[in-house]
Amino acid sequence: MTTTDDPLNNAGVNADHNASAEPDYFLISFAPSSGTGFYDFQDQIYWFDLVRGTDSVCGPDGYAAILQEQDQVEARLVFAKLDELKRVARREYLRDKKNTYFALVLTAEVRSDLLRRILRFLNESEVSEIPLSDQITPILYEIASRELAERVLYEARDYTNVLKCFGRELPSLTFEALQPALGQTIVEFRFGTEWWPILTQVVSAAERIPARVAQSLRALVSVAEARWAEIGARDMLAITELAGAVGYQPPWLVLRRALVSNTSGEMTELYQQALAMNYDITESSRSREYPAEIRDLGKAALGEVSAWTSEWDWPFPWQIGLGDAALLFGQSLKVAFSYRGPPLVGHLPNGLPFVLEFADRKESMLREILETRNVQIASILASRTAFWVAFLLDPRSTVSRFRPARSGRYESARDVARMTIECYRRWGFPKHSDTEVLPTESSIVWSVCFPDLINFAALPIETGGEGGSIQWATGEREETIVAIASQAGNGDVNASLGLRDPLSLLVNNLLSFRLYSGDTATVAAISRVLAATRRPIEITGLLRIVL
Amino acid sequence: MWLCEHCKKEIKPLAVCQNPKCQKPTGFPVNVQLAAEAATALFEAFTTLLQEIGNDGSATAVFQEFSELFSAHFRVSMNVQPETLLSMLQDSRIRYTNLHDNLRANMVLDYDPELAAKRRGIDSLAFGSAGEKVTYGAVNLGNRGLVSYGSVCIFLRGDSIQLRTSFLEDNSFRYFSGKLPNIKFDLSAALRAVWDTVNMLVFVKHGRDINSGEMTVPRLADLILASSGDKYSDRFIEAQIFPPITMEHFQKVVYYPGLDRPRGADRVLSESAALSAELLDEAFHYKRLFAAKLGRVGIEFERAEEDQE
Repeated sequence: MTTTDDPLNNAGVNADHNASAEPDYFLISFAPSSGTGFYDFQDQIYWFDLVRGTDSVCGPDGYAAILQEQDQVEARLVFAKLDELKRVARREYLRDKKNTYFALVLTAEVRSDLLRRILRFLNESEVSEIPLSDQITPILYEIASRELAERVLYEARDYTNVLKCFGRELPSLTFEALQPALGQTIVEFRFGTEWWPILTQVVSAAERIPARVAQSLRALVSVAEARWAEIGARDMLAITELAGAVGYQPPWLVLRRALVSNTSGEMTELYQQALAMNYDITESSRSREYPAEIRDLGKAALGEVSAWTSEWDWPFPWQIGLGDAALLFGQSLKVAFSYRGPPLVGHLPNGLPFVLEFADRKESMLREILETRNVQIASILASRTAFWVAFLLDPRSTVSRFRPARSGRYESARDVARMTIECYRRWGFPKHSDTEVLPTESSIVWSVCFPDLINFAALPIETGGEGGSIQWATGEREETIVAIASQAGNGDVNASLGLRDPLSLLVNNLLSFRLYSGDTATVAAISRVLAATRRPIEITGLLRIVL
Repeated sequence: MWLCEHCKKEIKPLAVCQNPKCQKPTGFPVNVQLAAEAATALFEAFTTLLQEIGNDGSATAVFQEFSELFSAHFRVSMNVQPETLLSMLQDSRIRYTNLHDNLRANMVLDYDPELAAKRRGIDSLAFGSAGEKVTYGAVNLGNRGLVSYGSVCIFLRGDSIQLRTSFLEDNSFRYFSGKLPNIKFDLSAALRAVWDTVNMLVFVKHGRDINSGEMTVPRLADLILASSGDKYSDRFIEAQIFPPITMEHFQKVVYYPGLDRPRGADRVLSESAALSAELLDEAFHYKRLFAAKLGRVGIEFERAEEDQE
């Protein structure tokens, strides 16, 4: 037998393999228990050992080597590349270890330090992502000791991936083992214990929660509902998640009630906890399925928007009552704080894309707002967040609820603008890198300051054509733009905001929005303003809204 | 002595009962039947050897003495990696059985039909027509076994495997020849034995050495089985055991941690192997981990204290 280095790690061997006219590697057999296997390449049999990291040529008597190597499972798999073959073998070796270690810890009493070492291994992201073998799980149910399962779950409290594996792959066994802890939590109302995060992790990972457990969890949420004031911020968030997982009520609704009921001044802490929570929604966002909290917020926002419009005709933020503001505030800030995924991509009704982002810089600013309890400012931020999230979820319905502004409200809008600018002057304006084409914070300022622009942009969308049934006179449109431009061009404001070129930013945003919505008249108006100010513009690709 | 389960007459482990009035299938696995059919060649070689050693009856006496010692200590062993043993020590159903159940991607299904046919040949060569392959072990009088296959030596219970075990005078490697696609596995010249005749097979292979030295178990053990860690230079009498082999078939397990295979640079794989070794150490050295389970099945287990090689 001639020993060579692992072809994966040796350019020379790889080069020989790749030079072959025969394109494939035939995995003859593999022993998942030991990580050794045999493959055929160009009529040569190779023996590899994953643990040693070796790959050896066997020669013609390699078949005998296959016969004698224990635990070989015939494979008959063909791969175009050697690294694909090795990747599959590695995965099956790790799966076998996962099968074995789960069986071991659930059937034998392992010394604590060894148990933690096993759990650390099972917590490796690569291992935890490999599911147990299909045929293994029913056997584990049969042979596992519930007492040992309870102990293992307890020891795994710091190993999130292991807890998720339990919840996802062995839900019945896991919940049976957790039943005593769950019962104790309900009866003694013991949140904040070490069992609490274990419970919430496995529940969040489980696709199906046994009916009896779901019933217990609903009871738990119900108990919590009666005693919000006694519950810490972290547990409050956990309970809202549980509520959603077991079909009690949407999490945002539970959280909303919790916020309203909690008068202990824990809101700030709650939001800090929300910040610390890492919502892994990258995958769902990529697949254009918005995360549950975004969907829930969008639905809530639609409901709130609907309520405002029916009551007050026009949803100026300062018209929101204190209670409503707090409610919506709670939901929207929860999302804005906790969301850590990529930008959410949506489409305007005309099919063009836009992107919704949550700005990192909002965190410090909003925390200060929370501390000052400035309801008006908070309401503005909340309503804007609510609007855009609702728009993302259901553009037509959202837009249709915003009706054209009456001219008399413009003064009020400018008041809000001044107030917002003051707000930014006090707390600082988020700065963007010079390389970013579209510094979108400016759009926030102006969409807050001039909510009518939202309506302005939405008109053609709602009515299905340029200008739609509600016609804006060109002069009116220009007047608005000029008013904005003049405000943006104010040197004092520029200095206070730290904007390099606010007019350019503003116009760019407006223009991109108008271009996408197909309002050529407004584009023309903007062009005229730009011509007057002799400023160059850049047209950007996507409309981006930063919340 | 084996009895036909139908007529209760004594039989040899051939395909059908040798009683002319019975002639029913014996149920012995094919590997044992083939070994029984080769009995004549073994007897001829045995007779020739006795004549070469001495016609005065001394050779027979040596054989008698050897046979008594051999019978008292003879077992079949197989060596595995620590991870494999750890897997075997769980519920037997936990053991991995079918690679395909777990594979969903990365397979290239369309390939050259001729290549496919050739490879089917390899498969049947390696795994047999029934897809069930026998497990390979070695005749062992009590040494550390074929350590080239792993640092754990498992001795099997003779009473649980003797009806399904056959023996070959040498390693199967010796009987392969040729190059793909004309590989041959020719055992026609090889001596084979069944459980009752394996002492003759050992004597035929090592009779001259047995005759020329001290008749002690350690010496005989090392004469019969020698492994330095290289599969291709191992010397042993090969045992083929028809499945199944589970924990219930273990008589004794000896773990040689000093012979664990070296670990490569991959952190996760290395940790997995190290963890398995540590768990076996816990079980074998401190008698903690599987003590109840192993005790229930009646398996002796020990850890070789000295570091070897």
